[in-house]
Formats: sequence, structure tokens, C-alpha cells
Amino acid sequence: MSSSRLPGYGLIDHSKTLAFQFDGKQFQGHPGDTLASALLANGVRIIARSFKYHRPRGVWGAWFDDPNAIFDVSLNGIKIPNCAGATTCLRDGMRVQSVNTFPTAQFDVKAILDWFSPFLPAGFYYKTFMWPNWHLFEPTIRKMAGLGKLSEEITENYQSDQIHQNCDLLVVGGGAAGLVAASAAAQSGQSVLLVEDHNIAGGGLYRRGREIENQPPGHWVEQQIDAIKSAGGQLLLATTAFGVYDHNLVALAEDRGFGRAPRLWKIRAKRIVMTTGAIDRPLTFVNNDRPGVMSVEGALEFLGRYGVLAGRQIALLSNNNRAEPSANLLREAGANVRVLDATQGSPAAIGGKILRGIEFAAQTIACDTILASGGLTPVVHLWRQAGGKLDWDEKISAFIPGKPPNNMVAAGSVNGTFDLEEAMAEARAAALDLPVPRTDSSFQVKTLSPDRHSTGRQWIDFQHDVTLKDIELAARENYASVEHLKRYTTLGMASDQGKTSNMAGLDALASIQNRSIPEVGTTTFRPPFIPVPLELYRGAHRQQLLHPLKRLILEPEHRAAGAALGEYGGWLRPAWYGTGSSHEAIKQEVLAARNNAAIIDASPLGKIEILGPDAEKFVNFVFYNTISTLKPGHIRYGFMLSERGIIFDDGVVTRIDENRFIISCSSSHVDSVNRALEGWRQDGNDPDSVFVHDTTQNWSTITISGPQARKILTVLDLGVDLSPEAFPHMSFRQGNFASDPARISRVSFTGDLSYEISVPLSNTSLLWSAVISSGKPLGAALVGVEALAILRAEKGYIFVGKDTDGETMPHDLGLSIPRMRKKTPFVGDRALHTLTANSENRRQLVGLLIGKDDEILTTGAHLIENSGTRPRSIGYVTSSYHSPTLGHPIALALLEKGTTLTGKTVPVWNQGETRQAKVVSPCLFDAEGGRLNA
Amino acid sequence: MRDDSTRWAAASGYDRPDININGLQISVIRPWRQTLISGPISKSLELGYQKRAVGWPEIAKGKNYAIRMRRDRIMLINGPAIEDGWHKDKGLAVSDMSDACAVIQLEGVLADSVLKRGTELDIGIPSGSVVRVFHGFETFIYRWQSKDIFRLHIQFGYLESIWLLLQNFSNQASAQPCTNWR
Amino acid sequence: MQQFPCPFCGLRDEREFHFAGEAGKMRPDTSGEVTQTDWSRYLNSYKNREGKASEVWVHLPCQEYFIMHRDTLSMKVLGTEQLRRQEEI
Repeated sequence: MSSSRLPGYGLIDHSKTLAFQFDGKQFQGHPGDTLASALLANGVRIIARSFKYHRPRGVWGAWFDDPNAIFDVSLNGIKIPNCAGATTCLRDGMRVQSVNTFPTAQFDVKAILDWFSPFLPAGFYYKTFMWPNWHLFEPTIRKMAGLGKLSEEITENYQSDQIHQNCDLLVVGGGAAGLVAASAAAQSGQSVLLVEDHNIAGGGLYRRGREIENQPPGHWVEQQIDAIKSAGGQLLLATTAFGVYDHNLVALAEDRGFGRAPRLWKIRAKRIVMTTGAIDRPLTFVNNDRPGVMSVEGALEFLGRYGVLAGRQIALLSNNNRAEPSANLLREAGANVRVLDATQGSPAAIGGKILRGIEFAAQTIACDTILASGGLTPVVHLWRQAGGKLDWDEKISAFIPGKPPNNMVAAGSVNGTFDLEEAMAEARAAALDLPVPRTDSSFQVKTLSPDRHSTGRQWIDFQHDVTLKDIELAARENYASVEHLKRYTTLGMASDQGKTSNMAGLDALASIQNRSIPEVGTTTFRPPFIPVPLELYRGAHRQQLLHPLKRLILEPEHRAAGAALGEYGGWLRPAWYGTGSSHEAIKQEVLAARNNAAIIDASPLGKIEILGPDAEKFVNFVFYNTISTLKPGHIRYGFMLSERGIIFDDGVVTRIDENRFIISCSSSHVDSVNRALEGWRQDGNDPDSVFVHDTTQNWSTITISGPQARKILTVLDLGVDLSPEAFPHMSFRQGNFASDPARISRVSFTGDLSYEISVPLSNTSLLWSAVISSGKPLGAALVGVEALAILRAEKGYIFVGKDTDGETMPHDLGLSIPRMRKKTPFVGDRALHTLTANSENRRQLVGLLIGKDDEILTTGAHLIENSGTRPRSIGYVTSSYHSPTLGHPIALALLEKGTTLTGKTVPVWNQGETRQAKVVSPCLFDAEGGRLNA
Repeated sequence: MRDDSTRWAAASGYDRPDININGLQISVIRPWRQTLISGPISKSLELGYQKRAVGWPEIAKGKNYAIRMRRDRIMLINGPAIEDGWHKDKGLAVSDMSDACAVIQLEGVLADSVLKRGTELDIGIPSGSVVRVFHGFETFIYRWQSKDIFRLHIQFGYLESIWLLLQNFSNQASAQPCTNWR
Repeated sequence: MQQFPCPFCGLRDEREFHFAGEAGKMRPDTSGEVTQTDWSRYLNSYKNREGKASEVWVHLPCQEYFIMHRDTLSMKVLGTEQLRRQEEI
């Protein structure tokens, strides 16, 4: 064992132990450990296998910059795949399984893949599995792809929380700079939110172990937090800012512990201070992916925060002046450290599963651990997401924040200011919106590029097994842009997202192309900065809330009557009643409706009121049909069109009085019709002279239809003369029910005598039972939407959007008089006279008949023409039912030149089968309208 | 054809127990009248005997009050009975909407935290109106009587869904209240 | 997630708004002759400018249509113009 726990070191609680399992073996850790620190403390070096070659991998970094430690973790019956080992807190009883390994990370049978690595270069899959067809290979390759295994069990209550919150100042990163910025800002009276992704603030302070403002780091951090809180600031720990969006919206993911979905904070901040710090940069050398090769900062973090010494015999390979101080910290902790200047030779790690040493400048140095640092990389991801520019700082060989995005400022290590005093000075200024002082950093780094002439593989992306050779190959194949390189080699993809591998990759490409890193440029930084579960975004939008339906006030009555419920146009409505076969129930409902009467809950029908002196002019403009001639108390059926002349909705318009109309649009189109009306009202009309009130949900509508309808209404005593002469078809009367107003429209969607009675919602239940008790003795039946759909189809009445499509104009349905005669402008008028509108080949609404005992036609089946070399679709079936009234199948269809084909036979093609249907009029029931006008 | 009646929990309408958690109380209340008036605001207020229609974050007071919905529209809560239709003399359009909107009252210091789950509600961003999209639903949200009592008007048809959301987020808000800076 | 200013309701989340067309586009007067070209231009031609753009937007909950000037590259809102006359509150 090479790495070990040091008593007295770190922030962990050494007095308590937590038991856990890794790949079946028992281990112990302490509260405050992460999975990675606990495994290292137990001397476990091989914690994973790489994605492509199944090479053994060890922990590389101590936090989000570790690309290797990815585990499937289960605890108390909850299994979460692909947990990042360096950021997942250890809990007692956790069972941790390495991913991408079989059976264990220590011994993985697929490691044989590494022998074939010369045959698996970048783009291997693209090149190899092209012929004859990728889909032939896809299933096998898919099985090998991916990391952890999803649990088959559903994790109960795994639901994210989502909060919108604002603040004057958001500080991202709770290291020294962040704490100072937050406390300065809070004390100046700003509302401050500080987010820190560890569950203990302090950032890199514990790593260096030295005093800050003459106090131990822990004390100092506590003091800062007290200052922030007492000045009214808020601190969110274990929370990562993972995305910056437009207009200063920052998304935070708060870790709520293992097995619980994170909480999403959507923070709208007036200003944002980025104190996101910096991470160590990997060095590119031969076998730099071996377990035991770690980042220097990672090793110091394991020491300072978790009390884990990374190794006993350490070779510290670095190109910067932090090497000696770092080595001293490790020496104080008991390690034997030899510092090597990485610019002075081409290193190579020696050993396989166990690191034996390092070859450097022609000598072999025995060691159990190699710590490597290629400099520090400021964490500029969020800065770039927000649109901030980057400057190349030659002195530290790194990109630092340049021209800032709106309302954002950076301070501390992220600026390349690695000296504590200077970083804190920057933070104070940033917090108070003062000019940020910039000083020369004491950090010095020697430029270093990968040695392209070494034999042996040098890793750039540890997670995806991208080596220097892969990058050379990609460059040779002219994937010269860094964005192309990324996609061709998968460099920096998956959970890394350009964190750890980014700079090494850019450095490699730059040196291959003989360009500078700033010339090569970076890939685009996109959210999320750390992996977040999709659940974070879903939140409460699940099950009934995924697509919430509107609910009827009569739903309890429908349920009591045994209704089957279904979604119709955004409402949950009775489909049919009764528990037997749906087919039979619907048939009986249709027959009862034709023979006696139907009682239908039609409450979702639109009731949009148009009021004002310009109401007549307005309705006349928005409708295809002429409405200006409609007299009070009368109703007219008509279409609303889009400006392209396409039927947008159909409905009836009722004129109540001179200045008031009610548009009863389709149930499912109320919201869109309401919006369209409001749009036209404010465009080209005087909005002070016409108003649109959507009163749909104030009123319930019960339709009573059928030969017995009038008798049923008589019993209700609505105070209205119901005789056909006094109350003819397409007229409207105001009556009373339960001493409240009741509106009665004599309109029909069934083809039979029908009344629609509308009452305020609170009277609906009363009206419903009154209608049932007067209707039942007369043979009336409750009728659901399915039977209604048949009743209207027998009559050739359409559903807009079902029997019409995005090309259907009114004259395609035979309603061409306004098109030819209406004098005043209306929506869509000009579009009805284009070449397309005038074409002779338009699809028109027709009826279709087949044999009496045939199976009904399939809705959507194509009507075809066989005259050319290939069959051609000339239309399709839009509605198809078995008509109980007529005793044979019926169908509606849109058919090219349909009206000229009446009486002819057309082939109907569906899934390879062709049948013959006769073209007829869409209206197959009571064509004379005797029943309608009864 | 499919019967989805079991996939949707039976609707309870107005009859439902309050939500009570950590001092937060959420209940359905039934104003006896809600009247929609469109037209010049001064005229609308005159018709409803009101001095002012509240926007955000004003606090509506008393049993009868008016809330502002648009540049040219208010809603009277428990106002006088006014005939539906066009009022020629005043140039106002009136519709009774007493049954169109369900009204939910949220009371307690956590109320604001529940609401912030579904909308960017900010005391520091005033608004002429109380209309607001909450969890994707068009609603009216305003304060009533005190800074900790909120009223939420929603389309009646969405009462079931919004109640489910409020139940869900009451628990969440109780676990993590929002910080109110002012 | 952007924030747009409704001239009446003030600053709101972008989810409360819909784009309603480019500003300055007039519906041809269909009480007279409208050429095919003019009608087609009205329906189909959009400048879709990069950078500064003037557009009609609607604030859905209050249904106010207004003109918004914004920069389609930086997403900055440059200002709004109300289409309705000002009224006392």
C-alpha cells in the first residue's frame, strides 16, 4: 500500500468510522470523506478502467477535476449509477462498484482490449463500421458503450426541487476570495448569495495548510461566514453553479445527499462575482494514466482536507515554482519527495497496475507515486458561458478572464492571481463594484509541450482514452479545428466537459500544428459545468402534471355514472359511459341519441365574448363568413382562417345584442382562438371600442339532442318558448335556471334537434340532474365524446384539425360563397385567391362507402391513383367509424378533386393492402335537414 | 379506445382539506363574486365603487377590492352586481367570472417560498398587473391583507393540477425556504 | 433565460412572452387589389436581422402587444415602445 491516512490531518472526523464496500471488499472511512479519499486512505489505487482500452485507472484529482473515479453506488436499496467518486460523500453502508469493469477494477477481463489499441485509433468506429451498414454493428457496440448500469428499481421520491431567487450579488466559489467578496458585499448592504460546491467553505485554503490573516484556515473561514450571515448574506454549501444563461440567470445544483435529487436554484443576480479558482493541469508524458499518477494540487487537497497522504515515495514532476512548497508540505507529512523539473527531460511512468517508478533524463527513479503539474488552469467555464472573453496570459501559460460579460467580474485564482493577499484585494474590489487591482503574480511557469518523439502512449483525456497519437492522427486527417478535433476524438467529452483534458489537448494540437494555444483557441463552453441528472429539470412536471388536463366540474357525476374518461383537446372528458364493451356502449349511445335523446357535457365549448361598439366590425373581420348581417338572437356557423387562408377554427357566432357577440369555438381551440382574437383587436382595430372576454370556464354547457330534446327542455322550465316557430334552428334565447341566467342556443352538432344550455359552473350539477331526471323517462342516454364523434360524422360535420389539415381552405369543404361574394376585408381573404387556392387539384372533403359488412377503413389510409408508373397518394381518410344509425361503415376523407369523383371508386391503400371505396357526399344522414329543423 | 379514468385521480373540486405545514396554510376560498371589467380603468373603478386596483407588490385590503389585470382591465372581487355586457354610457365591457376562477389563499411566512417554486416573484420588481405565469399556468397572484397572505386565482379547470403542485412544493418550501432580502 | 419588459407589467421572465412578428409590417389593405407579390411579402418575407432588431412581442398573461428593440446577438434588450396610448393608473 502506498497511500494512507494520517491521523490529525484534514477536516474529517477521525473519531468515527464508516464502513463501505468497494468491488465486494470491505473498507472503512470517516465522516467528511469522499469515496475517492476513503479508497485512497485504504491504499486502493485501481478504482476504475478506462472507457476504450480498459486500462487500470487511479484517482487523479480531488474534486470535480477528477476524470477517473466513476462508480455505481448503492445504499439502503437506492442505486445511483455513475457517481463521481471525488465529489460523492461517503456514507455508512455504501456499496461501491467500479464501472466499465468485469468483474472488478483490479481484475478486468476486457483489459485485453488494450492489446488491440494500435488497431483502435481515433475515428476507428467511424471508419470500420461504415460498410455495409452501421446498424448491423450498432447493437453490439451499444452494449459495450456507456459506463454504469441503470438500476431496474425506481428510486422512490427521487424528485428535484426548483426555486427562483434573486439577489444583488451572486458570488460563485467559496474559497478565500469568494468569502472575502461575499462578506464585503453583505456588509455594504447588498443582498448576497455565496455558493460553494464543497460542504465546507474555504476552497484551496486547506491545501496550503498555512495561516491566513494570522489564523488557522478553519477559524478564518468560520469568521468570514459569521460576517456574511450577520450582514444578511446567504451561503449555499454543496451547491455548484453549473450554467450561466441570458440576462444574469445562473443555475445552481444543490446536492441534497445520496439518493436524493438535487435542488435547482435559478438565481437572477444583479451582479456576479466569479471566484471559481483554478485547477491543476495534467502533464503529457508516457504512461501518464497509470494508477499512482496524480495531480499535485489533488494530492495536497487529499492531505489538507481528507488527511490522506497520496504516497510515501513521491516523484513530483512540475514545470512551475509551486513545486518546492508543495513538496515541503508532503515532506512534513512524512513523504519522501523528489522534485523533477518536467522541462528537463521526457518522463515515462514505469509499472502496470502498480507504479514502480519514473524514467527521467536517462535515469530510473523508484517511486510509488508520481505527482504531476503542468501549471494551473483558471476555471473560466462559467465566464465563457456568459459570453466573457478570454485573454492568454503568457506568464502563466493560461487563459484568464478578459473582457467581461455584462454585470460579471472575476477575482482571485480564476484571474491567475494565485497569491492570497492579492486575490483577497481583488475580491474586495469586485464585491463593491470598484476597479479590480491587478498585480503581477509570483507564480512562474516554464512553457512545456508534449514530447512527440517519445515511444509509448501519452494520455490527453484519461476518461476517453484519447492519446497524443490520436490527436496527431486527427490533425493529419485535417480535423484541424479544435471543435472538429473534439468530435473526432471525443476529447473532453462526457463528464469532463473540457475541465481536465482541455488544456493538455489544446497544447498538443498547438504543438502539432506549430501554432500557439491562443491561435488554436478553445472549444465552446456549455452548461452544465458538472454532470446533473435530468431529474433536476423535471421537478414536479411528472405524471398528472406532465401534461395537465383541464377538469370538468361534473367529473364526479361522470365517474358516478361509470364514465370512461379520456383526453379530448386538453380536457379530461367522458369518452363513453358504462363498464361493458366500449364498442357496444358507444353504439347504444348513438342509437339512443337518434331514437330518443342524448345528454352531453359540452362544457369545454368556447364562450368568448366580443363586446363594444366595434364588435360587429371586428367579428366580421375575423370570420370568413359575413357576420355583419347577423341579427340579435341569431346564430351563424363559420370559420376563422389564418392569414394564409387555412381553416384555423370553426364555430358558431351568436349575436346577443348590437354590441355583444359570443364566439363558441371548438373546445380544444379556446386558448389559441382567444389569443388570435386579442392579437387582431390590437392590430388594425380601435382597442378601446372592442373587447375580448374569454368566459369559457365560467359557464358549463349541457347539450340535449334528439327527437325528445324539446320535451326534455319543457320540463326544465327555462322560461323560454320552445316551439319551432318561436325558437327555430340557429337561434339563441336567454332564459333562467335556478333563478340564475341560462343561455340556450339551438344549434346542432349531431344533425338532430339540439339545444345547448349554458349555466354558471355553480349551477351545473343541479342542471345535470334535472336534465337526467326529465330525460330518463323519455329514453335519453348520457353520451360521451366517442358517440358524438360518430353522430357528427354521419352528418358530415367536421372536426377542424382532424378532417382538415394545414392546407384546407373553406371552399375545399364546399363553403365558397364568402370567398366569392364577401365585400369587406377579412383575415385570410387575399390568400383564398392565390394560384394554390385556385388550383383545380385541391383536396376536398368527401364521404367514402365500403361494403356493409366490411371492416371499417383505417384513419390515415391513403387514397391512391394508379395511372402513372408508381401509385400516387391523392388524399387520405380523416375519420372512419361504423355507423350504428345507418348500419354500415362510414368515412370522411380529403380527396384531390373529390367533388368531381362522386359516385366513382377509389383505391384505399393501407400498409400494403388495397381496398376499394365509393366516393359519396360527406353527409349521409338526413341530408334534407328535416330532423335538424324539427 | 382507452379508458384513462384510473390514471387520473378523481377530481375533488372545491371540497378539499387545507394544506397545513410548518405554519403555512393553503386553502381554497370562495369569493361570492368576481367581475371582469374592460375599458378605461377610472371608469371601471367607478362602476365597482373602488378607488384603486392593486398591482404587484401592493396589498389588497378588505372583502371588496379590485385587482389590475391589464392596461385596460380589472377584476372586482366581491363587488356589486353589475349587468353583463356592454355598458355604453361608460364604455365598459363587463362579464361575470365568479365561477371561472378558483381562488387559493396561501398564508404564512413560507407562502412566498411556495410561490417562488413556480415563478420569478420579486418584491423588488413592481408590476402594474397581478397576472403572472406560475408553473406554466396563467394566474393572478397578489398579496392580501398582509405581506404574508397571497391569493392565487386560477382557471377552475386547472384547480386539481395546481393543488397537486402546491402540495408538492409546500413540502419542499418547508424544507428549504427562500431568502427574502427585503 | 431572458427577462423582457412589458410596457405595462414591467420586467418578466421570457416564458411569459411570444414573438408576434417583425415591427413595421403592415397588413395590405385587402379592400382593394393586393398583388400576389405584396401579399407574399407580407406573409413570408422577414428581415431576420443579425444584431439590432425591432419586433412585435406579446406579453401573454396581460395580452399587451408592443414593440421591442433588442440585439439578437448579445440578447440585450434595447428598449420597448408601447402601442397603446398611456392611461392614468
